[in-house]
Amino acid sequence: MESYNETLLDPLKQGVAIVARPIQSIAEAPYFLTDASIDFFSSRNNLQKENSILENRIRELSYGSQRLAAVESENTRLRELLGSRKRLSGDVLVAEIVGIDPNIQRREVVIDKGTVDGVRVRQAVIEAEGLFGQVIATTRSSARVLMVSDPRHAIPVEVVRSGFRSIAVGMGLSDRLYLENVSTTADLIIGDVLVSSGLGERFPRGYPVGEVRSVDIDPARNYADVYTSIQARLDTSRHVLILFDGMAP
Amino acid sequence: MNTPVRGIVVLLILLIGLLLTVGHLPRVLPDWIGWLRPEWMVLICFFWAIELPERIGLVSVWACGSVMDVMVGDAIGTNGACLALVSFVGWKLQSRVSLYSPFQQIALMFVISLGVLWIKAVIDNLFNGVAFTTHILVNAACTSLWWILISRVLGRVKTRFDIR
Repeated sequence: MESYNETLLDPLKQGVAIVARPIQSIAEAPYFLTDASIDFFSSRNNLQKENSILENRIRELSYGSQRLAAVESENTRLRELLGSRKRLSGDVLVAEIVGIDPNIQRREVVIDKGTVDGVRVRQAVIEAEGLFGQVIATTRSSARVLMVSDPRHAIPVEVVRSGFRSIAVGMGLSDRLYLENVSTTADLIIGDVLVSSGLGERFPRGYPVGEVRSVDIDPARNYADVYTSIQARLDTSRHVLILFDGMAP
Repeated sequence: MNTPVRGIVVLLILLIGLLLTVGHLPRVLPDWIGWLRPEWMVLICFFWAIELPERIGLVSVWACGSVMDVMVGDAIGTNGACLALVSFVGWKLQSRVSLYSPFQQIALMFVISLGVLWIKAVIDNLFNGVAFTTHILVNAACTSLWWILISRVLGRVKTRFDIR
């Protein structure tokens, strides 16, 4: 995504971004105001229900994180025994989505964190449910994120059950990815969970990407058509996490 | 109406055009509706180019295009060049457009917007790897259909604020 010309014109871009940012915020204001009004006018009953759901969710997550801590420490011990470095790092930065690209051929969003916050091009971005995308451009106070659903986006994945590896590419749809070059004899079944494989060293290993939704095998062809769901809530999420895999934020 | 106010009105309309360009549709709507969005800045720049050729210059049009580039993530200069081209065509045809029938104006706007969308698609393909699509025909057709309404509304604004 980066080119020599873009590097030359970077100072100009940074300057124009100062003018562009308020316009972008005004354009996004109706959606922020709608969300804020819904929050403000939520009835007490609804808030109590939501509170109860969130409390249950915290209990579940707290239980999960306790188990994860035990697994992580065991994993670290095993990795130390094998002489391998620790793969999953914990540094993240929370960012808010402040703009969505209106061009429907591109699946990109603008977030409110930029180079001053330590955000760099190629950083992986996740959402509460799964992998969201990667940073493709930055200004001082904002960054552009390419979502996993964009047709230009590809991510190395592996199946949790069988360890089968493939590459999931975006289709321009917010609910579907396509697995490339899957052999008709590949060990894949509907419902298989896909996580990032860590190959290519762009995305850390082990983050959920989606689930296999359909496996179409045509005997006349060498490859199967495999479609998967997308775990991250690309269309509804307002906050994302930028991963600093070994980098200080 | 004094000159600064007229200038502010023109700037405000350009700003509204930028807002409409960068604003996205609610996410609950289906994706195909996005193809029906017109190229707002093409319509606005063409209108001012034929109505106020001496007031709207290349620099101001290019500046608007640069702001668009940063906001929508296009390669810097893409929209500036496209809007400058639209304005240039407007300056060249300014005396003729008012004599054209609405149908001819729509046809002219279709050709202009298709040209702009094609240039943008080529640049997008070269710099961002976005695939070519025939949907730009739909987009160009929608932009041209909006022209009559936009030219009427902006014409009213021009008369109301006595912008010359």
